[in-house]
Formats: sequence, C-alpha cells, structure tokens
Amino acid sequence: MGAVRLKIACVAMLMAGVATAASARDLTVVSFGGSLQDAIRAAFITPFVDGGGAKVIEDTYDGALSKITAQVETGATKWDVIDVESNQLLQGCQEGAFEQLDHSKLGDLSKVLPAAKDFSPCGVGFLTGAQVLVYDKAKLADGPKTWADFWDVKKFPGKRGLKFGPKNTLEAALMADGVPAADVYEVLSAEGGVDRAFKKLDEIKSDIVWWKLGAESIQQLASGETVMATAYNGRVVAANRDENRQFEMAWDAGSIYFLDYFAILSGSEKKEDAEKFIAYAIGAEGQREFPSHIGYGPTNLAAFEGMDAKVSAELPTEERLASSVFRDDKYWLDHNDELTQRFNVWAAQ
Amino acid sequence: MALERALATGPSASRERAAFRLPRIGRSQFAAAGLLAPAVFATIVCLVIPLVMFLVRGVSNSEIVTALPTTIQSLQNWDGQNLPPDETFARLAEDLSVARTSGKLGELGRRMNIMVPGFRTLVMKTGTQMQTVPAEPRTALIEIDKRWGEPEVWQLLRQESGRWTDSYFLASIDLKRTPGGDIVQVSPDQKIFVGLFVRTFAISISVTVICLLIGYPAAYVLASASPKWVGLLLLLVLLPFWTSTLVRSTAWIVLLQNEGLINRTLRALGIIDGSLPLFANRFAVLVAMTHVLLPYMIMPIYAAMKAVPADQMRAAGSLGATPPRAFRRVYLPQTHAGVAAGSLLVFILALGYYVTPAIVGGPGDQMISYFIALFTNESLNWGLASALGTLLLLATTLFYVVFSRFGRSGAGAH
Amino acid sequence: MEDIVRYRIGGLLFRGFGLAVLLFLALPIVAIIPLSFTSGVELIYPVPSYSLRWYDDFFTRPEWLMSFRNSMIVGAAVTVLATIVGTLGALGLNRLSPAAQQVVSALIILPMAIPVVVAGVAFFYFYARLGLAGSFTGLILAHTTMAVPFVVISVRASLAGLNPDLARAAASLGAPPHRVFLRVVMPVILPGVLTGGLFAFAVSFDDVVIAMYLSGPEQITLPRQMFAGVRENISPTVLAASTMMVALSVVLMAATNILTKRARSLQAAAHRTD
Repeated sequence: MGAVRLKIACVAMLMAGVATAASARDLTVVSFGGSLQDAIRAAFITPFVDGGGAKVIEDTYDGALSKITAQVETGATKWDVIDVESNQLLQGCQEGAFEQLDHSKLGDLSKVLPAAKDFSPCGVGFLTGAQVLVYDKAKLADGPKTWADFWDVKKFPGKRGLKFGPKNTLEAALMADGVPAADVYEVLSAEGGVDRAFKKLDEIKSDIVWWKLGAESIQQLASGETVMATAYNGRVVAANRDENRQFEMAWDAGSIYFLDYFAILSGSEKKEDAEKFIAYAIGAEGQREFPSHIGYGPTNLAAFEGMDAKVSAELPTEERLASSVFRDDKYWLDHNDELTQRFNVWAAQ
Repeated sequence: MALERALATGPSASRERAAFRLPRIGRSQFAAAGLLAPAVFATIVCLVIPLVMFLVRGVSNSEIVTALPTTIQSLQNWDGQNLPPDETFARLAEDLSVARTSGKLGELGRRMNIMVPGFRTLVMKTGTQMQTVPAEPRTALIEIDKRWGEPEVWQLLRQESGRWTDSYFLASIDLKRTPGGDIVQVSPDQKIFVGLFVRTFAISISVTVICLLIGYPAAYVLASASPKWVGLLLLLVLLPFWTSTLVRSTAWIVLLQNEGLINRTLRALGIIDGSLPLFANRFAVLVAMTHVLLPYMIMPIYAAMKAVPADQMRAAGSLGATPPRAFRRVYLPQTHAGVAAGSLLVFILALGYYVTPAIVGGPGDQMISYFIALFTNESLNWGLASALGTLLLLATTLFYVVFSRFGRSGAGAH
Repeated sequence: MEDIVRYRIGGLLFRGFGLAVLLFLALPIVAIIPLSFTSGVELIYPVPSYSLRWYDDFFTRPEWLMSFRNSMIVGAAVTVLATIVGTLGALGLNRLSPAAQQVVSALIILPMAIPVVVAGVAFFYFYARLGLAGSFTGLILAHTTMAVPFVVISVRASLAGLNPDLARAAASLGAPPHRVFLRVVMPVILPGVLTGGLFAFAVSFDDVVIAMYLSGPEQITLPRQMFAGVRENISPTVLAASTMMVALSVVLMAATNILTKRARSLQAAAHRTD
C-alpha cells in the first residue's frame, strides 16, 4: 500500500544518496563566511587558482570543532583546508583531526611570526587579529589610553562594551589591575589570579554592556550605546573605512591578540594541493594583498615591505604586538569550560 | 449517488455492497499500523537509533578505559591510601606511551580535563615525553609534573575506571564526587545547571501562557474575518516564518536597545527622558520568543475555530445566554483541541530555543540548550551535553504525558 | 440596553486586541525593511542615505540565489513528505487504543523534544556512515524527521473535531474507503493538514543547526548563508533577502486570494446550473 511504497522510496533515496557521495571533488577551502571569506577569496584563492593552482570550491562553517572531528571520525571528509581559531587548532591537533604540516613544503617561512609557525605542528597562522580598546574619537576627543582608563568610570562616564565570556575579558581585567601584558597568564594561572580578575570586573559590572557577535560591539559604539568597548581590530578598520567612522584603537593599552590558522583535515585526499594553497597564503604576495581587503594583519612580516602605508597604519605591526598579550590558548583549552561556567554564574548575579 | 446504490436491489448490487464492508476492529488495528508505519519508521530509523548512539555518551567512560587499560586494572588492587605502588606508575607510563603512538592522547586529555581543569595539559605534557618508558617511572612522572605525586589525582582516576560513569549526570545537576567517593555539591561559583533548568522551564511556561493569552484573540480575529481580509491577516501570521532567526534577532536589537528605535521614538515624543531597559534582559527574551512562537499557537487555534459552526453563538444567544456565557460554554470548549495543540507546540519549542535568547537576552537569561550547544560544538564534552540533553528530554516527555492526560480529561468533560 | 453596550464594547476590545497582536507579528520585520536600503554597513538608525547596493549584492553573488534555491528545494520536498507521513500517522494514531496512543505519540514527538544541536550531531554520525552527509537526500530526510511531529500534532487537533459516525455512515451508504477519506475525513482535517504542512516548511526553511551538520558546499541553505560571516559582521544583504521574502509572500498571498476568489465564483456558477 502507500506505506510499502513509501518504504521503497526511502530505500531508493538512500541508495541514490550513496551513489552520489562516491564522486571525486575539488580542493575545498573552508572559512567563516562573510567579509573574512571575501578577503580570503580575493587575496588567496583567486590568485592561487589564476596562477595555475588547483581548482577550489569554498564552504563555510561557524567554527564548531565538532563538525571537523565528526568528518574525520566517520571518514566522510568533504573539507581540505580549514581556517581554524587557535583553540580549535590545539584541540583538533591533539585529537588527530588535522594533518601534521611539512614546513619544507610551505615556502620561505623565515619572516613568518613564531606564533604562526611554531604554535602547533598542525597549522600555520595566516592573519593576526586583536581585541583592542576602542572609542569613538568624534565623541571623545581625549579618550582612554590604558585599561585602567577603561575601568575609570569617573574620568570617562558611560557604558563599556565587553565580550561576554571569560576569554579576553579576564586578561583585560588583570591589565587594568596593573599586571603588565607579559605577565598576564602567569598571574591568571597562579593561585587567586582568577579571583583577582573577577573582583576587578565587579568594579564596573553595572556599567558593562555585553556583546557576543563581532558586529555588536561596533554597533553599540556607533549608536552611542557604549562610550568605549573592546572590539576586533578588523571590524574597527572596516567601520572607519566603510562608514566614515573615527574609531580610535588604543594599541598602547595592550591588546589581546590571536591568530587564525590554516590547517588540513586529517585524511584529506587533496593534501598536496592543500599544502600548495597554504604555501601561497602565507607567501609574501598573498600576505601583502590580504590586509587591503580586511583589517587583520599579516603573519609574514615580509608582507610589510611595499605595503601601502595607509593600510599598514591600521594593522597589528610588530611593535604593537610587542606590547600586547598573545592569547594563551593552552591555558584556555584547560580552563575554558570551568571559567565559562563560573563567568555565567557571576554575570547572572 | 451513494444513496441510489444503497437502495438498489439485485445480485450485482448486493455483491457490491458486500465489498464495502465496515472495517472490523482487527483490521482497524492493522490499518492503523499501516498508516503509522512511515512515521514510526522515519522516527526510529532516522532519529532514535542515532539519538541513542549519542546519548549513550552521557554515561560512557570509554576514553579512559581505552587509553589506560593496564593502569586502571592495576588501580583496582590499590587501597586508595597515599600513592599507588610503583607498578601502577609503570603501567601508566606504558599506557601513555601506547596512547601517544595510537593518537588517543588528545581524547584522554579532554576527558581528564573534564574531571579536573588543567588535566589536559598534564596528560599531554606527560604523554608526549613517553617515547620510551622510563626506568624509574614514579620519580620520572613526578618530575615531569608534580601532580602525579598527589593522592587525589590517583583516587579520582580510580573512581573513573569503569566502563560507565555517573559523573556527567551528577555534573548536570551540579553535583560531583570527592576523591573519597562522596557525592557533594559543586562549589557555589560553579553551580549553574539546576538553575538553568528551572529558568528554562520558567521562561517556556511564561512564553506559552503569554502566547495563549494574546494568541487566542488574534486567532479569533483571523477566524471571524471576512474573506476579503483573511488573506492579509494570514499573511501577518505567516511573516515570521519567512524571516530567519538572524533577521528577527537583528530586528529586536534595532528596536529594543537603549539607542534603538523604540527608545528614540519615545524620547522624541517626549514621553520619557532617558531610556527604558528593554534589551539584554528577560523582557527582551519574552518578547522575542513570543514573537517567534505566536504563529504556532495561533494557527492550530484558528484551525479549530474554523470548525465551529458560525451560527452556534447566535443560537446560544437566542436561547438566553449572554455573550460572555455563550462564549465560555459554547465556543471555548470547541476550540479546546486547538488550544491544547498550540500550547504543546509552543512549550516544547520554547524549551529548545537558545539562539534568540542568547542574542537578545542578558547573562541571566541563557537557556539550557545554549550550554548543550556549547558542550557539543566547542568543548566536545559530549558526555555532559548528552546528560543535559537526556534530562531535558525526560522532563519534556514527562510534561507531555501529564499534559495529554490532563488534556484528555478536559476534552472528556464536554 | 446598558448590558448590550457593554458586551459590544467588550467584543470590540477583544477584537481590537487580537488585531493589535497580529500587527505585532509584523512589527520587527517591517521595522527593519528601511535598513535594508541603507547605503552603509551598519545596522543602526538613522539611515545615512538610501541605496540598493544590498539588493544588488544579493542578486550578483551566486551564493545567495543558490542558497535560496536550495532552501526552496529542500523546503518543498520536506513539506510534501512530512505532510503525507504525518497525516497518515495522525490517522493511524487515532485508531489505536488510548494507552497505545500515548506511547506511540510520545515516540513520534521525540524529534521535537530533543535539543536540535544533539539531533544535528546524532544525524551526522549516523548519516555519514550511510554516505548521506552532505547530500540533499540526507538533509531532506533529517528535516522531514524533525517536521513530522508538527504535522501529527496539527492533524490530530483537527481530527478531534471529526465525528466518527460520519465516516461510518458514509461507508454504510456504500462509499469506497478512499472516497470516505476524500469527501468526509479530508474536509474536516484539511485545516490541520495545511497548518501542519506550513509548520513543516517553516521547520525546514528556518533550520540552521541541522543544515550546518548535514549540508555540504552544494547544499548551503539560506539560513546557513545568512549566518555565514556572522563572526565578523551582519551584512545588510541579510535584511535585503528577508525583505524580498516578505515581498514574495505578499505576492503569493495576493495571487492565492485572486485564484481562490476566481475558483469560488466558478464553483458558485457551476452550482447554479445544477
């Protein structure tokens, strides 16, 4: 009857599905979509393909490590090159989700930041980003210069925007409490370090406006919801460029910087092509092109040679990075769950 | 035509009539099974099996058992006092060495980090240095990391030596086991899940009640509208379906923030001076969730209302009932099925929602599914995600059973 | 006299409130339509100046049109499948004893009751082994499984209004089973079936979590496309897409209105000739 016919249809569809899955595929490069992926396409993918590299198709994901490990564990890998955040790279590498990279196949890495090439054997960093202290120069001519200023509600009254979550926020709190950038994680992981950070956050708790998505912090600044905030430097640059904003980044306060990495999915059929693509992406040419599309910095310092001065003025340069904290993802890998829980309890009180 | 056939006489007619016999009880059940088969098949094969495979992780301790087989065997003979014998240290060194080459080290580190934060580094640091098993395992391990010299670490390991573990379910209700084996509450600054469950149910119930109270009149307007306007009104109800979660959430950000549309308008009209706190709080969550779920309440009630004959209310009136009484006694009960269906849909959907509350709500408004998503996607703590998910599922099913019992007795009353 | 006035006012207030609620449904969507015409990138009022650049972005970028097409394909397939399976299921459920009904219906609404993230991962692991991950088939099956409970619940609600004697009477008068179904049962449950179908479409069209796990690069759906890049910014193209959906549904609704009006007048004309 209808039921039997339906069952047959189900099985037929299953078999059809199996058949189509067996076909070959092109090199698949995956990132987070939106303007970041546009930049990757413009600076890396298109020149790579035009220059005779393999054909590339793109996909997007939301950063969920589970999607990556699920593919590797079931063998149903559809991805090759992935743009991963540092904590995903660490964890994924530990759990065998990524291939170990052969640095000899990646070209001239002599001017590449140590944080990009030595951080993990499974990935190479291709952009530097930072969470910086930002304020609107049009509204605050003499704005905050340090994290202590960020915490000073008397000198600078108004709401502050902070990312909801312990990461980056606890570091900023410690820096506001006088801890130098180089010692932040030492203090944080020591006895009482976390308590000290939370106590510092208590001081301005009622003046905080939490943001979750990258665009929110900029929007809150733009609309006047907050008078200063932490924001991703790439977003700030975009706002200044596209919206004629005058957002000022207080680099001297010390930002918390991170890298995005390219990794190759374990078991990828296109490993050779993937390596060629990554080699192009961290080569001087690709790295020079990338920041003109999105405000994140290069990891290959050779890119700064011959870069438009207007572009490089907004980027995390070597000096700016020197006064900043490199986000310690090893620490966060151990403590993120526990501190996220604690943060949620604290924030809800 | 049917009537003619029924009245017809003669041999062919009676043969025809015999063919259309009423289904007897036995065949009814068989027919029921046939009709239900696709739905049940779809659910069981396509969902229950994969679901069970996932939920089993809520009690599974396979990571430790696979990576440290000889260690945990050796621990069974330990009395739990001070430190285990040298032999256990040797077994651990061997197991870690094997895990290193078989690629199981990361998984083990993740599992042990759930037990105690920081253990991931402990495992990775120790494991990566186990290319060869050291001659003096005890001193070597303690030198790599002094935590191996603490009895609690070994006691915890012994606790979690079984194939199965209750640690995830305990954690999902804010409990944990001490190294000694007692069940205690977690520290106050970590206690979150019980409150989350309560909050999730409270919000879901609130949203359901709100949707019911405001959705019923809306459905009534829809059902009693003239054909000219029905299309337009239906469009209003269906609009939220066409717009994605992201668009709706963005719209609420734009409307409700301190510098959002509503506050600016009120200020421009001189009604308020500063800003009303409409965003990043419970109000925003209730508004946003009601907006999303209202169509699920309105449509079933509307469908039920359409089935009520239009002249019944008039008849009730002509029999002497006042409009409110006619409404309560005649109209309302007949929409009962729609109300029940709508309430059920809204409640169950509300329980699982987390994206919208995460975007428009404040820190005190996270729902449980947000954490389930966090554990599933980011930290890969599938044990805890499963435990939380199982609890949510059980609570939902329990509610459904109670609700349908109550619904049936209510329906039976009329 | 006074009472009637009171009842009238009460009735008007009741209806007025209902209408306000319906308008509330449209409020946020309408409120951001102007933002889709912003010339800038930010989603805040006041709009600096108006432009069509985001609509242009939608139509020139292949990802948007492709994701829209994919969502429609999947949505249509899911609606048809889920409606059929769910309606049959509800009819079958009706014939069981009340005790059996409770058990089976609890099983059937399971997809609704589990956290969608858990469902997504569970589906992926299972479907990947069958080679269905990253295919339309897998996505459609998964969405259908999630959508069936909605149809079942809606149809069951309508079935409550079905008088069982009617079906029996029709059969006793000699109507074949399929005719009993079409002429007696179907008209009563039609609102439930249509509502269920609508919900099934909504479930599929708005889902992002399951699509994230089960769709490959060729099956990117509209919600996935909208959430893409949300780490960086929310592009106003998302609002443009949404406004066009709204416009599309208005057009569809108007078209349906005209068609039903025509069908009704044709029917009336046909009846008159009887």
